[in-house]
Amino acid sequence: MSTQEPSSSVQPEQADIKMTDPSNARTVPNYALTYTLKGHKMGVSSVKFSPDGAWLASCSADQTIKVWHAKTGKYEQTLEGHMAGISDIDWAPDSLTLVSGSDDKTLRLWDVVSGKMLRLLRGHHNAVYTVAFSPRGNIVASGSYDEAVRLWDIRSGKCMKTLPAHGDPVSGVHFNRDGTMIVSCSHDGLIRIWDVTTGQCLRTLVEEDNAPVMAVKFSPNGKYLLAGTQDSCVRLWDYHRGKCLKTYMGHKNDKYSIFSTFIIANGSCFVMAGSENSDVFIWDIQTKEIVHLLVGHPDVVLGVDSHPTENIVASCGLDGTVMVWMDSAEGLDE
Amino acid sequence: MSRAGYADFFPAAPSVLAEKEKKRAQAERQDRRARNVPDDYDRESNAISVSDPGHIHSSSCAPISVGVSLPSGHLVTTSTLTPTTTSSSPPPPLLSPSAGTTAKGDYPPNKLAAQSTSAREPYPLPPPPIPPPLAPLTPKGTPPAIKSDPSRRNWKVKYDPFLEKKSTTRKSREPILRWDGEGITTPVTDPRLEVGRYTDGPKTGKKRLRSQGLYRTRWKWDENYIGPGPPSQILITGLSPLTTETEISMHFRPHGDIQTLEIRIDPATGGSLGICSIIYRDGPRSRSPAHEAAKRAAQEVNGSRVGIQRVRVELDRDGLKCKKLTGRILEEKRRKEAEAEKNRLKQPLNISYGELGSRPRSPSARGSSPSRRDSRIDGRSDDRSRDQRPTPAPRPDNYRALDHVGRLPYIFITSRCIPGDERYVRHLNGRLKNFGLKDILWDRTGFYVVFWERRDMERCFKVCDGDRLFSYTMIMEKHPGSNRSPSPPPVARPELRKMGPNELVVEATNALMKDMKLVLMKDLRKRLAAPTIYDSLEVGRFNKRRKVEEEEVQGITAGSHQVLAVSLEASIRSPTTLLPTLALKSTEKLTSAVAKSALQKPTALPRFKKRILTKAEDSSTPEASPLLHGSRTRLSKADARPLAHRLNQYNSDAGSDDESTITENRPVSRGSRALSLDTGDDDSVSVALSANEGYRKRKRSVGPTSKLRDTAVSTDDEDHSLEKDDGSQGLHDLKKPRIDHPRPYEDGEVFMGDEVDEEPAVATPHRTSTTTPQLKPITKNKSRTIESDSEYYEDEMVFTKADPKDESELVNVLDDEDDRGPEIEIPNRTTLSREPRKRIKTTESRTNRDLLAVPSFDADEEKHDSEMAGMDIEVSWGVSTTEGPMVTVQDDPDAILDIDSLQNLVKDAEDFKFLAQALAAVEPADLGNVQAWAYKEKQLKVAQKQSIARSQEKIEGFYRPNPTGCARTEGYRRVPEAEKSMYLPHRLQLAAKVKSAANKIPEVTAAAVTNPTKNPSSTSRMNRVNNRRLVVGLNNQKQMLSSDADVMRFNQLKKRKKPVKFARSAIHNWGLYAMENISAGDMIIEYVGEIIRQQVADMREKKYLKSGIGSSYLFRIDDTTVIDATKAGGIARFINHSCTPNCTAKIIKVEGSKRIVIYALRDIRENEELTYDYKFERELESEERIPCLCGSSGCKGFLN
Repeated sequence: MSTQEPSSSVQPEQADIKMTDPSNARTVPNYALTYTLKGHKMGVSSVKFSPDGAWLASCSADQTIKVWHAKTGKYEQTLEGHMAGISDIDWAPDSLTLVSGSDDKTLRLWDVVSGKMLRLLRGHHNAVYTVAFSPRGNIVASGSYDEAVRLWDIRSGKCMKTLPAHGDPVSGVHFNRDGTMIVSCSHDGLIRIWDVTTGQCLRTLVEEDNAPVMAVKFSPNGKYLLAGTQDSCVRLWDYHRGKCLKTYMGHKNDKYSIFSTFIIANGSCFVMAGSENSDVFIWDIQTKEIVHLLVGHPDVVLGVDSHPTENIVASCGLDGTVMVWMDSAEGLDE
Repeated sequence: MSRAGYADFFPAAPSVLAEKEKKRAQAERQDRRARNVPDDYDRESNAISVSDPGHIHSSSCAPISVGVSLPSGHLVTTSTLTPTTTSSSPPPPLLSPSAGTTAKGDYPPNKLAAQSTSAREPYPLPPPPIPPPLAPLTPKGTPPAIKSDPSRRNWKVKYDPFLEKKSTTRKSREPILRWDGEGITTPVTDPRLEVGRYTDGPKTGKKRLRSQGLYRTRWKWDENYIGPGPPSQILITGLSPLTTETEISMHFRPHGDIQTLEIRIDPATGGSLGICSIIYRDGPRSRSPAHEAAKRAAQEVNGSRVGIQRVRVELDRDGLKCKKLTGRILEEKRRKEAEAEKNRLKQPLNISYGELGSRPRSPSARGSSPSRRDSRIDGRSDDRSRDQRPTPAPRPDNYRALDHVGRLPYIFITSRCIPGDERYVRHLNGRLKNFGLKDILWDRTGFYVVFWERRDMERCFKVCDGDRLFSYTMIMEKHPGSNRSPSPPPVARPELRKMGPNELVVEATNALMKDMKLVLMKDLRKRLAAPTIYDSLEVGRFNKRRKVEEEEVQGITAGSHQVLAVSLEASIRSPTTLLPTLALKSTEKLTSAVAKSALQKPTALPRFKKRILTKAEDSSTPEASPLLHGSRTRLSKADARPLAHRLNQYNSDAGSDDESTITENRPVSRGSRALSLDTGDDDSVSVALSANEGYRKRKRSVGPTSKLRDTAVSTDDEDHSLEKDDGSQGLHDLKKPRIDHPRPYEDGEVFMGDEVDEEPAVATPHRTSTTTPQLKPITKNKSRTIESDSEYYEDEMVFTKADPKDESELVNVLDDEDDRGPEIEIPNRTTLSREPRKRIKTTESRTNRDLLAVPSFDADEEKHDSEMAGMDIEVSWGVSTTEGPMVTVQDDPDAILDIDSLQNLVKDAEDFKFLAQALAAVEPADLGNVQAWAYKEKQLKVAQKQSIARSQEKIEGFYRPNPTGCARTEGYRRVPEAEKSMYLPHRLQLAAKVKSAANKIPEVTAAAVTNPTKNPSSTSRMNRVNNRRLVVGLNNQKQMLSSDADVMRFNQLKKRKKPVKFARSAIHNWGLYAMENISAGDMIIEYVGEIIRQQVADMREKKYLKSGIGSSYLFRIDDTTVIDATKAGGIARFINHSCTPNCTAKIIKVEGSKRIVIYALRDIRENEELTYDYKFERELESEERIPCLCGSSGCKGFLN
């Protein structure tokens, strides 16, 4: 896929994403492998930092969730109970609760402190592929292989809405910053934005070549979407106008649903995504250049996440490890 | 045996009773003479009646039996009663001891004394300003003038010397005063009423009718009111001991300001007595005076619930009622404690759960709150008795409700699900009350829902497990509690059983067998058994053997041989086949008895001898001797013992031969106490052991119907009372005397009846006939006459003894009997007197009962049973081996053996041992910290609703395991349509519909033919549309202007596009659905899209194909024009293809441009998916054929 984005359309948007200070030569954090967290027996499908930055949770195909200390890498807790591999997890905004979606068609809510399961959410007809916690903490969205997006009420543990969203497995869901919208993407190549309260489809984004979308995420400011597609591209969408602003390329992604995320570090913004060639790619959000390559995983990197406050990123992959990368720039560069 | 000794041993014998009564009457007479004060006597009797109304009651019914029905300790007190004082009077109201002598029941004794002294004092001292007694006492309603303050107005001058003109008539110069109506004996009447027809009044005028007599004035209370103020204190009774002050005040605060609130407590234990007194004070505003508050509180709260119990609230002016009540409760309690202590001393092992409900209960125990409270207090203070309604006691921290559950089945709801709090008890109760629960106990660990029956418990569990109670989920754990006890549940009731088909066959076979046996056994009995037994029972021989027996008692080991010899002798003499085996058994029993203590020995041995002796006497002396009476009474008593206790007894026998060991691990019932009492008189171990044995054997086989037998044997009403009464000993006590009453009159006859029953061989027709009429009324609801039943069973028994292999059949028959006869119930009570002989009978009879009690046995277990039953012929009787294995735990074969269910399974160390044995071969896994592992395992199960998993939790529905573990690690793959239709809900629905449609095709067509009007067009709207269309058509025809009728139509309906919606479709991703009924030919929607040229269309098609969208949204109008709805278009593009469509696309010309419009091809129902035929060119050879998923019957398989 060689679609070139019309660069002219990007220009007005640049103001929204914080520009790097051109005077500062070194804006890219110099991430270095700090911890390798081993413990999962099978591939680790997702890794997420808790919103308060204290924890790092990883879920694996071995049906467990492990919770680690984000900064020290110390193992804290294993949450067991799923009957099949877990595809995705997400943190509640209070950093005390985790939601996980598994191939056993259920979602489970976990109390991280006690390790107890709080709720079992049943309703999907096939493997749950992706989950997202509302920033308000009251709703969980899940996308599944049954092509539906479901919204769950946490308090009652019941399914509030089923959005007949897609014609293929839903590969990603994400809430925007204030929890009013959900974005979902699917292997049918569509990205759809939904109103949470009414369940109406607000917008559908479709790329010309209709490649299966592997992951989607709102930008922290809620104005853009970051979507990884099977044609080895990560795209930045302006969903208001329904246009693709940037395309980040260089990595390899044609099989797995690889997460991509934003990094905000040193006052500038980056895009990070895993790759099937076992590296983690970091692009400059504006220039689309690959500014950093985290090499360490021996196998496909599936999940990446960045720490909400610190210059820490974590990645996980099929090799069953979670790697925590910290900014070692201060010591090295100066 | 001397008379006195006899009386000791047979306290219930009629002769003894008569004797006692005579003595008592004498003693009473003397007593009265000695006291010479009838007043005192009355008072004392009243006092007794207050302290123990139950006793009074029982004695009032039949004074004869007082000595029997009451523990001996009470004989002394009750003997002071005479029938005259009590029998005529109803149970006296709850009064203070002195209340009987006073007119005003409300006066406490001390006040009354003060009053009475004050009443007498003014006589000699005319106007002494007597200070008013402690406090004004009048109830509110009474006019104050009569008796409140003597200094004020209650004096009347009868004679005033100053007013008298001449003092000649009176000697005294002192005035004569009258105080308080003194000397006026007759009530004051209205003198006007003495005038004839006064009330009729004058014949004319308004006030024609005059009032009847005098009005009683009532004064409202105000500050000028000189009487005692209205009560501002209330007394609350019937409170749960757990109720806190805050809780009470919460209920009573709304009525007014509470000055003091005091819960009465037991000074000894500090526990609440369930009484509370509240004094209101005047509110800040004068509008809410204290007495108003009290009155309101009494009116409104009375009878409502505080906490979990209904309370009674009454006005209590000065707290006197409260004081009185407290005193009475404490007294009662103390008395009960003392009694319990006495019993305990007498029977150190009498800590029996079998006492359940056996406590003498006063007749007023139902309904009246004080007695209820008594029982509650009793239940707390004295842990032995599980009361009928055990109420939670004030909880110590380590309170365990489980201890109070007893052995009843219960369901445990852990506090993890519902917080352990008292208020949920009520809600739980409300929720579960339909399941026949007994009680709900709670502690910190959770709730114990106790049931009377396991069946109820199971039902409740089935229905309510996992239900929600408010926001909580009731996760229940079943505990068939009673099963763990060595004895069956004390309140077990006959379990109804369903009959399987093969059981019916068996039953039929058995019915035939029955008849055969009946004939055979009658024959055997008449010709062979009877003469033999007569011979063996000859008196002369008997005495000889008795001596032998007495020696035996001293030297047991030696004796056993003798007995063996004797029994062998007997067996030789008797031709019945059962005797040898019985003799064998007896030897075994005796040898086993060697190990026993000498004390127990006699109890274990049969005591048929005595009976035979009496019979011998009977035959020699026709009139009933006292001895005879004794034996008879004893027999009937023993027979009346409820089955539950027989079961207990049996268990005790079964558990081990040694009585004492039983009493250790099992709470001793009264039966065993009576047993130990009885040991002394067991002087005879019969030589006629064989006969006795036969007797017992018979009993044994009678097992399930032993109830019948009992009624047959005892001929008194006791069983009747048992049937009706499920637990009130007090009632039983009441009944008993009445029952005993007729005895003396029909003694001889009854005894004959007994005889008949004991000795079937001797049974002659006329004798049995004497029993039957008496039986009939008792056993109303039994389906057969008892006589035939029992006879049949006797035969049955002998037969089975002869042929042990028949045992299993017997079991079946008995099963059948059990089904038929619901009268076999085990009343929850004990009788006071026990018969060891009866006990032995019981042990025998229990075997069958056991077999019956377990209807849920599966086949091999039953086989096992019958094997066991067969074995017992060879093995000794009354020993544990005779009993079939009793099902103590109902295994749950479905349960997944995880930690929870294992914990449920393993109840004690023994179980654990077996578990360990079973798992011995299994290699232990390395779990690390076992505790932690177990904890985790349990936590994992929280998701499951049940605590004991019935099925492995599994992923339901379609599940395609990903080889790498989960979907995300598996990566992208295109899901084939075939797989999608296995889990996508709308496709599953369609598949189900198609399936059912295939089954129903003929029906549907038939219905369509017969009911053509049931079309969508039948709606009124449709009718309108049709009419309009008709008009339009006519117009068109008339005008004949337009060549293109379709255009007209389109124009007309342009704005009337049918309401349609799109939704997920079973055919393909999305589909269009009708939102209302559409009739055939109607326009539905226009197909809107970009109008492009053919060349553009070709280009786009390629592009779309490349991007995977496909070309399905390109609609060709004609050779040059194509409508592309792919990127921009109306929802008509969602209409799917079907090989048998319900719509069609027409190309019409509107205002010069060609449009595509979808028309209904046929009537379309609401929510039906709209389809039309895409009419793609057939590409039969092509590899890119598009499969058709329309699922219609005429589907061609492909679109192209």
